Amino acid sequence: MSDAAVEIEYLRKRYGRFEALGGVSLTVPKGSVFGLLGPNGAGKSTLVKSLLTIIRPTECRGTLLGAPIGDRKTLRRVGYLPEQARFPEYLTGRQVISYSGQLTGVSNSEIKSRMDGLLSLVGMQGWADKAVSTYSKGMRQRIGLAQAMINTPDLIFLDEPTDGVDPEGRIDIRRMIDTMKAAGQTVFVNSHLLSEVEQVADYVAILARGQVIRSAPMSELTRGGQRYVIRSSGPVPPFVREKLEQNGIKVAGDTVTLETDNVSTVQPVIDALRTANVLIREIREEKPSLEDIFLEAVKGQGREAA
Amino acid sequence: MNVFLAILGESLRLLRARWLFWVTLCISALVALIYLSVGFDEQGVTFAFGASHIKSELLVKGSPGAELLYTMIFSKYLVGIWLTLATLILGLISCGPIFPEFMLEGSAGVTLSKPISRWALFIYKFVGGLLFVAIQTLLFTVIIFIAIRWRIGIWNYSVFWSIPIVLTVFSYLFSVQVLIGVLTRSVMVSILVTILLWFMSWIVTLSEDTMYHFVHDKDNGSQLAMDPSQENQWQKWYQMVKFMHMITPKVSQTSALLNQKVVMSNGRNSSLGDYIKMNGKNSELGDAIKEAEVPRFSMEYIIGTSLGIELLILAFAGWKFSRRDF
Ligand SMILES: Nc1ncnc2c1ncn2[C@@H]1O[C@H](COP(=O)(O)OP(=O)(O)O)[C@@H](O)[C@H]1O
Ligand SMILES: [Mg+2]
Repeated sequence: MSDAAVEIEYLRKRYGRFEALGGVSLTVPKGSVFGLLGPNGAGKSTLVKSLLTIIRPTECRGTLLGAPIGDRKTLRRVGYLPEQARFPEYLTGRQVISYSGQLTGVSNSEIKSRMDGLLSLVGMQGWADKAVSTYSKGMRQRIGLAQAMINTPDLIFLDEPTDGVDPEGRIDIRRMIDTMKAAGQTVFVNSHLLSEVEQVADYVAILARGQVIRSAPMSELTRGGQRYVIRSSGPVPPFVREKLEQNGIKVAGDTVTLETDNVSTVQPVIDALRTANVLIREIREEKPSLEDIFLEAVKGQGREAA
Repeated sequence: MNVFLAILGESLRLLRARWLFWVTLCISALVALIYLSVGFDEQGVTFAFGASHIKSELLVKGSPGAELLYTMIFSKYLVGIWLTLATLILGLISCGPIFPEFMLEGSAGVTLSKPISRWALFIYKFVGGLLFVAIQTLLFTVIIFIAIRWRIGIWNYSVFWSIPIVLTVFSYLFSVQVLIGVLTRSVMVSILVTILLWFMSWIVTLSEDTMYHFVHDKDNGSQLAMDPSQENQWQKWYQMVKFMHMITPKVSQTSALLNQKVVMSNGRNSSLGDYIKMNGKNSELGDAIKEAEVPRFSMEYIIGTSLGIELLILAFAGWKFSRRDF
């Protein structure tokens, strides 16, 4: 058995003539929190819905929890919170959760025994018997999360879970994702918000215009592209600047930038500046945020497409 | 099974949440109670639980005339106006949103991501829609059943034919509504198109009947003489209309089957012709009406062809439903 929860070899989806996903491949390691990041319209929801048989992919090879993608029986072990999830307004939160459980094949006694734990996990004990129509957006998401967890799935898909939720709710949702991860469940989160993914994900894939641009563990993604920035008081004198530029170091006004993760290569530059009596105001280490990587990736994509 | 019950239970909750369901149920009970309020005593018919009287020797308590009248009020008027018109329209309005609402963005995903085949889901949802009419008709018929026992003194089990027949008729219409709902996701369009189709089915039935008599009633003196080529032309037209009739869900004719199925203690239908003859005033008219009441098509033909068409419509709707992207 592979240790991937989801292994997409090749996934393509066209809506009529519009290609929403153009031959994507992706691996989601078991037990990870996987963030699929991309701007609106990138195809994130399309990807998740393809895995869940909600839409019919044009071409699809791969496995989900070891079974071929599209196998309905496997969905017993999967949970899903749709984007902009809507539940029948006339049901109570409790009814939404047990309906979801029944459709997934969970026995009524198990539903009963899990219910209270789930309700308290999502913080909805007090509201469980009120109709969904009386809920705020945040409460709907909480019930949505609970219904996705009623079958204690091995793999949970959350499509934009924090969309429209207040800050406190966001923190709670993040905490719930941590709980799922701690329980050994694989969590697949779709988001167009970097900050959300950055805080929870172990693995990140960036999707834009139906293509996976990058896919790597979080740590690896942010490791590359480290640099040091030195700033002087007043512009760097021309003769020093010339010398630095000859060595391939970028200088712009009062800012010297070294693309390196090795701090010892920075020392000679400091020496050179000090020798020329340049006053150093600041030296800082810069790591690219996910945002930089994301913007860079999306920008590159745009250029390609143009 | 558990899944089927879960979906059925959900449909029931949906119905319960609609005020129209309760309004219909109340009116249904009211209509049945009005029926119950009609009674018979030693002098004739009584109304409003005995508040007013009409004297009639024919209709005294325990007479065959009383049974005939009472059964006929049910099988002709209550069935014709309430069960097979009002209940059906209210049913279409109440059940119209079942599929379109289910197919909304963000709503379908929860259910479709479950380990249930799309076809099963489709069929369960369809059956869920039939619940509306089933419940309404059941309540109504039970009151009627009790009313007949009270007023006439017999348990007339044949009135329970109204449940399968009304349900069958509703299923013809609901299948069309589901198809349009699946195709357009619009509640309004699906209701309007269904009612339009219902109307067309009525026109087709009427045309078939009119043309049948026009072509076949040779000995009818009032008919114009036709030369053979003209007659041939008419025959061709009639065959065409007959074919149209065959492939149309026969809403009114299926409903009318209730007139045959609801029988009195002597095993006969409650016929208006019989009633007129019993009155002894105009037995020729009575005979003519009795003759017109004899249906030209068998129950098997009417229901069989209609269900056949319904099945085709459902198959197409289900196929669309099972293949579409949500
Ligand atoms: N049912 C559909 N029919 C046609 N186009 C669609 C459909 N669903 C999504 N799309 C298009 O596919 C693209 C990807 O959509 P989606 O997967 O929802 O993106 P994301 O979730 O990343 O915002 C969008 O351009 C969207 O307009
Ligand atoms: Mg989306």
